Amino acid sequence: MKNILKYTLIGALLIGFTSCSNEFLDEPVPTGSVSDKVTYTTESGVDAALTGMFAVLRDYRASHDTWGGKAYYLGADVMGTDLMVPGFNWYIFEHRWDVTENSNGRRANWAWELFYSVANISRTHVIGVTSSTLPEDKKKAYISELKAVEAYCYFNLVRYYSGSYLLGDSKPGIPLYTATINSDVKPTGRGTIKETYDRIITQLEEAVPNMSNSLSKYRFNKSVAEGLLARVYLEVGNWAKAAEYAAKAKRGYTLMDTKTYTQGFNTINNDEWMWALPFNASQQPGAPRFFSFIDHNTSGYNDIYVSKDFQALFTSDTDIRKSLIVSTGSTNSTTSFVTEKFRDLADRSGDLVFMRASEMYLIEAEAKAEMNDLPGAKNVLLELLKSRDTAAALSSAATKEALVDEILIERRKELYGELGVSWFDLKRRNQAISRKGEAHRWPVEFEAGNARWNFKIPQAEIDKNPNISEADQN
Amino acid sequence: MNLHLKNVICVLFFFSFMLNINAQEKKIIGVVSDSAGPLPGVSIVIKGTVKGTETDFDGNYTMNVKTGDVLVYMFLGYAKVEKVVGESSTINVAMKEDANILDEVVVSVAYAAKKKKDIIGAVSVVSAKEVGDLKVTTVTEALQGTSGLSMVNASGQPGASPTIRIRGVGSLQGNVDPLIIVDGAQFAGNLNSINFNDVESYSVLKDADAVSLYGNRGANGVIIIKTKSGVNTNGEGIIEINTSYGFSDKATDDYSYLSAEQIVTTSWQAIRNERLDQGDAAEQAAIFASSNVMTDLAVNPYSINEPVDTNGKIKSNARLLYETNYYDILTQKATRQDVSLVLRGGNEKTRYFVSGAFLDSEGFSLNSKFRRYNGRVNLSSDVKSWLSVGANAFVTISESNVPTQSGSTYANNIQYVRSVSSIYPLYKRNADGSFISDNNGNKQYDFAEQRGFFGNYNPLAETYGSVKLYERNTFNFSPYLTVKFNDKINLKSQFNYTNYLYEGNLFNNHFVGTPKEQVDNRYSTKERNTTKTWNVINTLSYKNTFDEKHTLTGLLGQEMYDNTYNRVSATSTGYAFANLPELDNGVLPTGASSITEKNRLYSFFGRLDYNFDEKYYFGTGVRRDASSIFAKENRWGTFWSVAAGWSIYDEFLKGNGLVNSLKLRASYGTVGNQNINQQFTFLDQNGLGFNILANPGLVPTAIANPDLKWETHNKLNIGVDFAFFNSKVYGSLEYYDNRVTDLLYFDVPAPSTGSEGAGIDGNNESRALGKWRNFGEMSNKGFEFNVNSVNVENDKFRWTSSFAISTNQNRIEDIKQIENRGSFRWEAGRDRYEFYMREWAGVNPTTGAPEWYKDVVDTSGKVTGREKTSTYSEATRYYTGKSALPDFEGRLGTKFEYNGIDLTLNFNYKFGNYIYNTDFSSLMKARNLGEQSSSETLKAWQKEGDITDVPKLTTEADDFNSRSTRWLQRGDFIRLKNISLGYNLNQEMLDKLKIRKLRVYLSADNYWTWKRENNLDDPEQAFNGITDNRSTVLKTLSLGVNISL
Repeated sequence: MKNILKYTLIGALLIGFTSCSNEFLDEPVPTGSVSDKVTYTTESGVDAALTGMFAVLRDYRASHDTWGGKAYYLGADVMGTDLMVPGFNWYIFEHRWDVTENSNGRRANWAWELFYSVANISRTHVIGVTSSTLPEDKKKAYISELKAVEAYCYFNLVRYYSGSYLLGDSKPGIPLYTATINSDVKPTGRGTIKETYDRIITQLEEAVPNMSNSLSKYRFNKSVAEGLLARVYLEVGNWAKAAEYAAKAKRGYTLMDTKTYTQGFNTINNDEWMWALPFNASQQPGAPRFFSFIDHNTSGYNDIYVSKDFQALFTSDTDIRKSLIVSTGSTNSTTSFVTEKFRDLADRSGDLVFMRASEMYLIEAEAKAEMNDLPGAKNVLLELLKSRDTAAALSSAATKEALVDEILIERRKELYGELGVSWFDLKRRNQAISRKGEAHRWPVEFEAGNARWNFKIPQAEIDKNPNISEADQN
Repeated sequence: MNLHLKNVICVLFFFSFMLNINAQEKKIIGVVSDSAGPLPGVSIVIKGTVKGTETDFDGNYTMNVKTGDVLVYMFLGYAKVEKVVGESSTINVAMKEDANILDEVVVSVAYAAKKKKDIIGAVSVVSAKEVGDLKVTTVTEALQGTSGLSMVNASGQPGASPTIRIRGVGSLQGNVDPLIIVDGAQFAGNLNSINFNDVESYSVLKDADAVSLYGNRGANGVIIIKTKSGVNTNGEGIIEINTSYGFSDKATDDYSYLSAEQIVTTSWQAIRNERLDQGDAAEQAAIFASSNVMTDLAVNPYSINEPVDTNGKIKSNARLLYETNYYDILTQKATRQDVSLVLRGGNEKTRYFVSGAFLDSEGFSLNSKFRRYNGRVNLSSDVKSWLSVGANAFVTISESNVPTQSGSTYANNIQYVRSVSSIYPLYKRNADGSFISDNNGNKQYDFAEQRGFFGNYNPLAETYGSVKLYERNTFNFSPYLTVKFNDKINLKSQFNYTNYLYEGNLFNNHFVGTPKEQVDNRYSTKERNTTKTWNVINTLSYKNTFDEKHTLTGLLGQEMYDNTYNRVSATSTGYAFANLPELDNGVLPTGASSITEKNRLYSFFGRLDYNFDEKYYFGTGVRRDASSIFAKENRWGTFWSVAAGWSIYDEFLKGNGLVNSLKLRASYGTVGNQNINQQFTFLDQNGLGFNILANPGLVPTAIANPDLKWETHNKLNIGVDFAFFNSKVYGSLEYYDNRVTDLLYFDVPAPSTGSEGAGIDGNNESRALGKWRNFGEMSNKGFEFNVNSVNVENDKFRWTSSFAISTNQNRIEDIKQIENRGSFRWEAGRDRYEFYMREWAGVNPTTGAPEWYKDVVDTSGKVTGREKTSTYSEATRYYTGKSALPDFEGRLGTKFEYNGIDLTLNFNYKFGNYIYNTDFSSLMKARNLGEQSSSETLKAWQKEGDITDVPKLTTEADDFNSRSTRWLQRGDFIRLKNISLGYNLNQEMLDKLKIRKLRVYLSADNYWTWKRENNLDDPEQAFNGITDNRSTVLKTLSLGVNISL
C-alpha cells in the first residue's frame, strides 16, 4: 500500500512538472514593437513609420543644448552675430565657437548621428514600401517623401561638416549611402562636395513630381520639397533654379499679418508655415524645450539675448518685428535686449517652425538680385515687407551688391531664431565673422575659410570607418 | 592598614609555595586513541598553563605533571577531553569524533549539499558566524574579501547593492553579475530584501565543476545563500534576540574646496587671463575683469558692487556678507538601528525557523532613509519515513526615501555640493546680506534664477519639497517535497515563486516662475514595476557505497524558469496643492506608459561523482539549456565539466604529524552566458511610441541576428587544499584560467550608417541599431590563496587569523574591430579595463597652457618621437599601462578570544588598480564661473617660469579637464572593514539568569581607511574605476546585544 502511494505520488509529480519545452519557450513575444511585415502591409502602418521618422527628427537628443532637430538651427544662430549667450549657460559653447574645435564635442557627434540616423530610417522604409503590396501610386508618394527627407538630412550635414561651397566643390564632402544598416553596409568615405550636392539635388528633383500637398504639416509636403530645393540651389549659387522653386514653394501659403506675427510663433496652425514639428503637453521636452532658452517671459533657461548691434538694424518704427525686440532695462551692454518673437505656451507645448513662406520670398529676391533682375527682386521683397511694416517702400538699392546686402540683412531680421541664417549665410557666402565691441561678452573673429567654420568629423566615425582616417579630418 | 594587608599576602604566598613544594612533579605516560586506533598529533595541555606536548605516531605521550593538574586533550574534529592527574602514572584517553570538523562541514553546492572534503571544485564558504558583527544592509556586502570575489561597495545609500565580480569580468557586453541562488532557486528580487540574520552560510562557486550545473547562468560564478533551517532541539525551542544601535557618516573625507573669497579672486584671474589672450593690454584686462567678475558670477556676496580691485584682490572696504557651506547643508548625521527575533527549534520529525526583523538605516546624503520589515518561516517535516515536506517563505517590505545619489542629474545632492560654490546663497538675501523675509517673517529659498548652472533650483527646497518615496515588497514562497525510494535514491521537487513589487512615488514641486506657472508645472509620477518569477526544479539523486570503498553519487534534474517584468507608470501635471500628489488631483494627465518583458529558460542536467576510499575523486556534470531569447535553431546549449581530486595525504602521508590534509584537485568545463538586455535577438523590431500629437509612430529599434547563440566560458581550475599542525593551519591555493569564446558583442558600426538609431530614450538608455553577434574571445587568469590559522589555542585564550589574496589578469584575445569606449579601448591582446587616453605633459612654464603629448610622424607615417602640444584634439591617445583592475586584493582578519571577551579585526585591501577621477577633474576646471572648485586650483600658473601642474585660470575652454592621464589616480587602499569588541557572559552567570547566551558588543565598520591618493574622496568607486559623484561608503559605529534563551 505504502509503495503504491509512493509511486503514484512520484508519477504525479513527474507528469505535473514536465511540459513541452518548445511551447514553453515560444510563449514570450515582443510587446512593444511590430515586425516589418506588419508595418508595411497597410497605409496606416507606413504612416506610422513616417511619423516615427519625424519624431526622431523632432526629439533626437544628447543634452539640453542638443535637444531635437531645432537645436541644429538654434546652435548655428548663436554662432552668428545677432543672438548671444552672454552668461555661463547652455549654448555658450556654440556662441563662443568652442563646438567646432573638438572631434569629441557633443554637438559634432549629435548632429552627425541625428541626420545619419534619420537618413538610414528613410532608406529602410523605402525598401520596406517598395517590396510591399500597397497600390503603386501610394508607394510612389511614400517613397518620394522618404527620399526628400533623406536629401534634407544630407543637406544639413554638408552645411555643418564641409567647407563653404564657394571654396570649391571638389573639397571633401560627407559619406553618402544607398544601402541600410540591416544589410551590414560598409561605411563610405567623404567623397566631394559636388557629389553630395549632386545626390541631394537629383534625389529632390526626382521626388517632387510624385509628392502631394495633402499631408499633415509635420510631414514633408510637396511645397516643403520645393522649398528645400530652393534652399539648396541658393546654397550652390544656382540662382535661376533657386528663384523658380522658391516661387513654386510659396504658392498656397498666406504671409502672416502683423497681429499673427506677434502671437508667439508657437502654433502649427499658421497659414504661412509650410513645415513644422509640433508638440502636445505630454510630448514636450520640459526644461530643454526651445522656448525655455529664448523666451524670457517663461520659466526656463532664459539665456539667449539679442545683440544691441542687431537691434539697431531695425530702423523703421512701424516694423512689427522691431516691437518684438524689447529692452531688458539692464545697464549691462551685453544683456540689453531680448526677443518676444517666440512665446512659450502655458502647457509648454509650443510647436516649432522649420520652413515658412517668408523664407521663399527672401530666396526668390536674393536669387533675382544675383541674376541682376533688380526690379523683380525689389518687388518680391516688398511683397514680404508690406506684411511686416505698414510704411514699407520699394528698396532704393542702386547696385546688385547693395541690394543683395540689404536682402541678407532682411533675412536676418525676418528669420532670426529659426534657421540659423546669421551663421549659415556668412558661411555660404564665404565671409569672415567679426563679432566684437561692447555689445558682446564673447568676441569672436575668424576669417573666411578658417578651419573653425567646419564641425569636426566625430572621433567615433574616424575610429570605425575604414574609409575615413585622421587625415580626412577637417 | 596597608601594612597589615601586605603581611597577610606574604603569609599566603608562603603557604602556597609550601604547598607547591609538597606537590611533587612526576612523569606520566599514556596512549590517546579513537575508535579507529591511536591518534597522533593530539595536543595535551595542563589547564591554566601553556605547558604541554603532543602524541607521537603511535598515539603515545609522556609529560611531567603534578597530582591535581587537569590535563586537557584537544584534536581538531574531536571533542575536548579533560582528565585530572591522580595517583596513577598512566592516563589513556579515548577521544570521540565531533561532527563540526572542517572537512565534515556540509556546504551548499549546485542542487545539493556536500561535505567539504568531497568537493573537488573551487568553492569558498563564508558562514554567518565568520561575518559576525558587520553591519550590512544588503547581504552580499558580507562577502567582501572572499578569495576570488571582487567587490565594490560604492554607495552610501543603505539598500544599495554592491557590485560583485567572481574571478574577473567574464563578458564584454553580456551581464557580468554572478548568479544568486537563495535556498536552491534563482533569486530575481532585490538583494536588499534578504535579512542578514536569516542567512546561515554563503557558498561562492567559482570553477566549472562547481558551476556547471548552472549551465547558462553560471558563467560569472554563483553565490548560494542558504537561510537557517529549524533544528532538532527535542521539544523546547530557542529564542534569539539581536539588536543594535549606531551612528553612520561618510567613511572618508570629502574634497577640500575654495572659500567664497577665493572663488571670487580666482574668477577675477580667469577673466583677466581671458582678456589678455584676446589681446587686451594688462591694465585694460584688469579693469574689464574687475568690472565684469560679479556679473559673470551672477551673484555678489560682498557689501559693495565691485569688490575686486585691479590687482585681483578684495578691496579693504568690501565685507563678505555670507558664505554657504553646501556640504553641511546637504548631508546629515545618520543613525542605524535594527532588531530581530528568531524562534527556532523542533523535534525529530519537524523543525522550524521563524524570524522577524526591523531595520532603520540612514545614509549621509540629506534625507536619505531606508526602513525594512522582514518576516520569514522555514519549516520542514518528515511526514512519513519516505516523504518529507518543507517550505520556506518570506516577506519583506522596505520603504526608502532615496534622493538621487550618483550621476550628473540635478537631484543628486552630492553633485550639487561639487558644482555650486559657497558664494551662492541658500536663502534670498538683500544687497546688505540680510534675509528677505516673506509675509510671515520666514526666510525664503533662493532659486538662482540668474545662474546658468543648476539654475532655477534650490537643493533644500527640492529635497524636502519634491517627494521621492520608494517601496519595495518582496514575497517569496518556496515549498518542496522529497520522496525517498530507499536509502539510496530520492526525488525532490521544488517550486519557487517570487513576486517583487517596486513602487515609486515622485512628486516634482515646481518652485520657479509665476504662481500659475508653479501650479501648472508641478507633476506627480507613479511607477509600479512588478517582477514575477517562478521556478520549478525536479531532481533525482542517488548515493551508494560499494565494498566500503567505492562511493557513487548521481544526480538528474530538470528545471523551468519564467521571469516576467511589467512596468506601469503614469504622470499628471497641474497641482494646486503640493502635498496631495495622487494622480486624480492633477489637472492634466501627460503620460501613461507600460511595458512587459518576459523570458524563459528550460533545462536538463545531470551529475556523477565517484570516489575510491576518499582518496581518489572523479566528477562530471552536464547541462542542456534553452533560452527564449535566441532563435529556435540556436536555443539549446550544452555545457559540461570534468574534475578529479587526489588526497595526497591519504596516499602518502597518513599519520604524519605535520600534515593533516593535502588534496590536489583539477577541473575543466564549459558554462554559458545569455544575459544581454535584448529580449528577442532573432527579430527585427520597429518600436512603438514615437508619436507626433495624436499620430502613432514607429521606428526601427532592433536588428535581428537569428544566428546568435550562447557565449561559452571555458574554465580551468587547479587547486590544492591543505591543513597542517593539527589542522591549526589550513587553507587552499588555486590557479584558474577562464577563456570565453563566442563573446556576446553588440556590434555598432560607424554612426554614418545610421547606427545610433532612435538615440537615447527617457531613461538615457541607448537605442542604437547594432547587431548582437558572437565574436571575440577573452581570458581571465589568476591565483587565489587563502590560509586560516589557529595561532594560539588553550583553555583561556584563543587567537585565530585568516588571510586571503586574489589576482586577476584580463585579456581580450580576439575582437571583431577595435572599439573605443570612452576611457577604454577594446583591442585584441589588451586588458579590457586598461585606460586609453591622451597623456598629460604638464603645464607650459612660459604660457601657462596645459599640454599633452603628440606623436611626431615622418612622411612615411612612422612615429619618430613625441612632442608636446596645447591643442588637445591633436594630442595622441595612448595605452596607459594602467588598469582599473587591481594587481591583487584580499582580506586579512584576526580574532582574539579571552575569557569571554572577543576582539575581531577585518581588513580589506586592494593594490595596483587605477581610478579615473572625473569628480576631481570637474573641481579643477570651472566650466562655468562660480562653480565649486578644489583648493588645489590655488596652485595655478601665475607668471612665466612657474612650474606647476595646474594651468593658468581662464574662462576659455582649454580642455584641462578633458580626458587625460592628469586625472588617472592610484586606487590602492587598505580599509578596516570591521573592528568589533564583544563580551560573552560566562556559563555561571548564564546558568544563574537561565539564559543560553548573552553577548554585548561594540562594532565599528569602515572606521579607518588608508588610500594612496590624496585627491580622491573614497577609493571604492566602481568596477571600471570611473567616479560619478557618488555618496560613498558609510562608516558605522554601533552597540549591540545578542541574547539567546
